[in-house]
Amino acid sequence: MSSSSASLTAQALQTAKAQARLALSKEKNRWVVSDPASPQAVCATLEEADNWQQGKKLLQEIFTRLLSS
Amino acid sequence: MQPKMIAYDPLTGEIRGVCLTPPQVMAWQAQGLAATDGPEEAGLDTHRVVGGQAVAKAVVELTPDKSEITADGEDQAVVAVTVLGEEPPDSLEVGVGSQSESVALVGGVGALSPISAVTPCTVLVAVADSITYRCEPVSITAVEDVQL
Repeated sequence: MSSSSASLTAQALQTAKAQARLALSKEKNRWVVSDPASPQAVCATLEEADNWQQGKKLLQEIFTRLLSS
Repeated sequence: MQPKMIAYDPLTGEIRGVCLTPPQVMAWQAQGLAATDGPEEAGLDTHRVVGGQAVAKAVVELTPDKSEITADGEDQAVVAVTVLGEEPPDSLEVGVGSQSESVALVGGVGALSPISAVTPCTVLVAVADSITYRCEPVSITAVEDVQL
């Protein structure tokens, strides 16, 4: 495989991975997209926590998600 | 024009390889692919095989009204879908990120449901059936909602 085609393959894989990571939902006949790994989504998730234990659990979930993406 | 040999998947009609010299055919057949002659312009992206004949893929145009939206959950982009050629289908499966939507077409023209975003991200829109249709994917980028 040439370096350019290997680079294209790597790029395509990266794109597919990024698309698979996105969260999509249909609300009122409209697509709503979000990236769960974005700082905004992370902050929104943490804001849901009512106490330290819950926040710790959410943080673990966030890092697990980030490491697997 | 000089014809060339085309290897294709006999189940789907997807073209998997092209070459100008016959010896490759044996290797293709060993992989379970079928071989046929095709026009010089036939390619993996532009053609498919139907009934043993290479035919051009139907062209689909995706036209967003805007390629950048604000990630505020309100701003939205609408992607128009146009299937060119005679006898377009009544609907077309269009991929949105990792999901898809069946877009109803009237005279080959339709529109995907509006796309909005709540966080910065880029979502790709493409035709799901890339064997039958030729289409350039489009991307919609959601940018941070900055309020000063």
